Amino acid sequence: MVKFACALSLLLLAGCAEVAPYQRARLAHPTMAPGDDTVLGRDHMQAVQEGAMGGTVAASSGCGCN
Amino acid sequence: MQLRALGVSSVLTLTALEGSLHAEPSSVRWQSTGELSVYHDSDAITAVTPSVRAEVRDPLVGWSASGSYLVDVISAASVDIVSSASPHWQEVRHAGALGANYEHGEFALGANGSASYEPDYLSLVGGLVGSLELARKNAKLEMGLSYGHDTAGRTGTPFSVYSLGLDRYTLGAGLELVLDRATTFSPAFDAIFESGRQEKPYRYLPLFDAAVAPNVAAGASGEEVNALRLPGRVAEHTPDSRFRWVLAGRLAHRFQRSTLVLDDRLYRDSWGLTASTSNLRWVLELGNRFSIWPHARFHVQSGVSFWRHAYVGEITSGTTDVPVNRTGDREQSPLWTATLGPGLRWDFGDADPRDYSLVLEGDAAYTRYRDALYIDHRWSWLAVIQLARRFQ
Repeated sequence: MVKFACALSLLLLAGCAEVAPYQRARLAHPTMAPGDDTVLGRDHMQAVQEGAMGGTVAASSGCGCN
Repeated sequence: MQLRALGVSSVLTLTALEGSLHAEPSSVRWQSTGELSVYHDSDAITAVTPSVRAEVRDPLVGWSASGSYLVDVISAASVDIVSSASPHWQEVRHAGALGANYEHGEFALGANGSASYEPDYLSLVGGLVGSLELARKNAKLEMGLSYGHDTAGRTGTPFSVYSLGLDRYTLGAGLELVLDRATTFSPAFDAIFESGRQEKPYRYLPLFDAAVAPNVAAGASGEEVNALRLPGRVAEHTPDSRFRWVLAGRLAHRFQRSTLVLDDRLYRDSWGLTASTSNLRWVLELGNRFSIWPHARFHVQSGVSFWRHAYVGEITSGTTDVPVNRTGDREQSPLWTATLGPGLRWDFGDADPRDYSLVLEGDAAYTRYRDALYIDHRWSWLAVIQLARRFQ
């Protein structure tokens, strides 16, 4: 699994383009940021109604799903 | 109304900090957001969730800190409650989170923690996230780990008398890649291990005779179930450990006047549940101050391997013959959900339009339960209003 992850990472890195800081105006637009569409109420509602979880590296809060 | 007042007043309080905090020009930037979401579905569940978030960061020095707090007021008279002859039910949940991050050169390290409390449930989570910029900041490697402990009990009974504990360990890794001047791609992988009790203390399942079970249709009503089931009910029981694996990806592309974001998540766990979740959001700008977007989401999952909508068993005095693992939690059943909704953002700051912003969002969702008792579909609606303030 570790070898596979390393190989995949190298493959993905190979697909990167060299973009200089002065070429990043579009990348820096706020709508490109991962947290731009965060809705706390919606995130929790989906978490308690579906069996799947995860997908973000950061720790997520636990849920009271009694 | 009190909750609405709580959300709005909290935003005003956070916003009021500006006056005392930005007397001198500073590189410190603040953002505060107040949010109110209202959820209602065709299963008679309503949730009102006011929340506040705040973030402060100094991009020159490289540190940031954030916090959030929300209250969930949930009112339910769903089929699960009615079918168990329980009265209408209402509960309040409080949840808070804190985080801090420090960047030094190409390295960054962050810590975060969160807590969620309601009278019969307590969840505590803490985690660390580290990241490393690579390839002249055209790639970022991120790794995180977290530990969480959940305690489930019964309302009115102290946790010291009755509780079920669950430990959760999460290891995550992700990459953020710049593909070109307008496109990023972010794959991520999570491995989650849970150890402990995941049964719902209030949930009791009907049992059916082996000859009757095949005749119990998915979506059978409470009356039909009561007419066919054996006397008595049995408590849920699920395996005491669970491995979850998640592979996720986020593709974002910035056009001249719009942004398209695609998220996808593939999920598999040791209970046999497989799921796929796709999310699309396309933000279209109408001038400098307005943007609108359609939002679409599709989630599909199989059930856990031991899922049955009609469990076969026999309860007699002194002996119970039932499947070892059993659950009535529809969250673990085969289902799909399609969500569609619009969003609107109005930036109304003076110097920078985004200094003040108002966001309105609405979602309508349809869930199809392919193999559950009591219910075969659900319609739900979510309305969200956000007010954000940024200042320096």
